Amino acid sequence: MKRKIGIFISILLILFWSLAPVYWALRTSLMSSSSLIQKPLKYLPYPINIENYSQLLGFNSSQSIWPQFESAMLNSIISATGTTLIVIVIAILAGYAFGRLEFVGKNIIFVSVLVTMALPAYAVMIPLYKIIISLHLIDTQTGIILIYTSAFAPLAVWLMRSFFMTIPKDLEESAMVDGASRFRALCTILPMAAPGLIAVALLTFLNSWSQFAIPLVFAPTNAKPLTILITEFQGKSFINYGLMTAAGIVTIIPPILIVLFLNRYLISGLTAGSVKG
Amino acid sequence: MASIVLNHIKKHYGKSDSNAVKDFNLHIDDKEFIVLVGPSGCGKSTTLRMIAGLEDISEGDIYIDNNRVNKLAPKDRDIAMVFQSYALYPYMTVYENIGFGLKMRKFKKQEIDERVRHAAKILGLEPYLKRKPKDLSGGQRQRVALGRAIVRNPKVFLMDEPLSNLDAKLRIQMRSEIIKLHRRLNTTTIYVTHDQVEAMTMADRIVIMKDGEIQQVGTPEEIYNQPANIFVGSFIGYPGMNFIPAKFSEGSILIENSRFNLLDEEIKLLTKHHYQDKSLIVAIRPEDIHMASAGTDSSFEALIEISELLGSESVLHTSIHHHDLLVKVFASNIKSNDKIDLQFDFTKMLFFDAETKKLIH
Ligand SMILES: Nc1ncnc2c1ncn2[C@@H]1O[C@H](COP(=O)(O)OP(=O)(O)OP(=O)(O)O)[C@@H](O)[C@H]1O
Ligand SMILES: [Mg+2]
Repeated sequence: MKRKIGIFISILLILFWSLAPVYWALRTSLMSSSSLIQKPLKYLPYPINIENYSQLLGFNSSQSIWPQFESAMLNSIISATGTTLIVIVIAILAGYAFGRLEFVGKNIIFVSVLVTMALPAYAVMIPLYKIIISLHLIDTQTGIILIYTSAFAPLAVWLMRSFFMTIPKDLEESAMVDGASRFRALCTILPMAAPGLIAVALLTFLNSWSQFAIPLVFAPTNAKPLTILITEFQGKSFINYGLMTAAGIVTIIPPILIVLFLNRYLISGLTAGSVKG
Repeated sequence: MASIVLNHIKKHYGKSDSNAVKDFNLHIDDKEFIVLVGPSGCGKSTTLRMIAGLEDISEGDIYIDNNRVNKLAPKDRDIAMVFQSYALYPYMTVYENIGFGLKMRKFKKQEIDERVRHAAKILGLEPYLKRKPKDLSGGQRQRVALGRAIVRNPKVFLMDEPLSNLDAKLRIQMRSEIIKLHRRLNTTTIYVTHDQVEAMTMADRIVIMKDGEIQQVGTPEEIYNQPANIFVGSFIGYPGMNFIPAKFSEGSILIENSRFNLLDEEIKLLTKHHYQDKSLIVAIRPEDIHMASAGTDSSFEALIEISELLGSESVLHTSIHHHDLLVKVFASNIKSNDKIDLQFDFTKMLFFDAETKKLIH
């Protein structure tokens, strides 16, 4: 019983630790700039003020920043979704190849893929910048997606490889005997790799969504995502905390929805009953 | 339906220093039920997988119906394989699992339906067609795996220890179902097992392997009565054959200083092969040693160390001049430490060369 209480309290502490900043942002976004600077400090946003949100989402047409916000939102969605889709395809094919097929130089290639994960992004920033410039991909979605893909694919490939290695080989072999090509056999075992695929999709999407340094350098204007836009709600002498936190709150909604949606499929035991036992 | 020829097949796995399969030669007739049997690691699965096309053939040729299939993909060999693990798809129903191969081969929906239902009927799976594999018992899963194989009407069935995950009773039941299925469909079948009882009861011909090499090919009777070497003799039959070092001299054999007179035929055989005054190994099955009344010609006294009751029979552990001897007799009240008189059935006695361990015949 004592132990349970201990665990309960620890969980409360962790929840507080991670949710308090979010709450603080929510509270700030719901207050007018005048009430923000009032003393004593207010812990509850009262009276509620939705001025920041209406400005952000364009309900208040006079000072609307909706056009900017909309395009940044679209940019974030396109780059994160595009990266996720491409990374998933790469992870399935490469993960399967590394996990199942025998070919010359397999280990060397696999290790080289993994080694790229150890390189800090900043170390390659300048050469990468030159490459992207020479490809005329600076400040484009294509460029951003390319960079994200190269950054997140190795981890995804590694994860999928481990996942494929846990699926009994018999399942594919029996598919191949039954008339499937290699590729078709891969497709038949894919549903059993679903938890892995979803983990990969989540990781990649969340990672892409929250990037800051890379878009700051490679997508400053046209392809600017939300993470960059948020920091721009400040003038020379004035930081618009209300607007900034409102944008922040709206920015975390899509990832939260995606996590909630995909989490349902992250159940284990999808291979139960396929082989003995 | 098809004949299969395996011609000087060898398999070498990447880094290992010896061949997993060494010079495997076999001609399998149409409709035959062949059982590959042998101890763990002897290369049974490897051989089967080479026939299926799941493993490259290092050397040699495989022909199915006179077509060389070495380079054909598994799907183009028109075979069906039943795996030890059943290999069912967990997210498909029994119906979809059985119909999978037909769907891959683009059969019409109606044809698939007919064939799946027909197979389900043969295998008694009709009530379970809508279930997922996880909601089936081991025996039912095994039947689904068989169903997957039979719906396609392939030229050849390959089965790799399909019954080894079942309990003893179910195994015996499925064993006879597979035999009945073979009588009904007459499809050439290669069946892998390490269980000698399955081999003896199911096979038209048994192929006994050890260390990647064929030891003997023959009908269950041939293998049982004329084992080609000591390994085969000890592997087949329960309990295994008795082997006793002996010497052949003057028309009889000497086990240490006990002399046993041989039959004329046996004397002729051993003399013909020049075993006069030479060492050899005498072999006799436990069931070919009988109890004798004291003083009978060539009987010997034996002290029973352990007596095991199997049911209708007992296995007696004893020895002759410190060489272990197992004797199988009808259940009796013989107990440990009893002394009884025993007698060899000389018509059933076999002789093996002491050096080559091969049958003298
Ligand atoms: N993929 C592989 N790579 C390397 N060696 C292998 C591989 N598969 C099997 N072997 C080796 O080849 C030999 C034969 O293996 P195989 O699986 O054919 O034996 P088996 O007769 O089927 O045994 P069991 O009764 O245990 O299934 C063994 O020594 C095994 O270690
Ligand atoms: Mg095996």
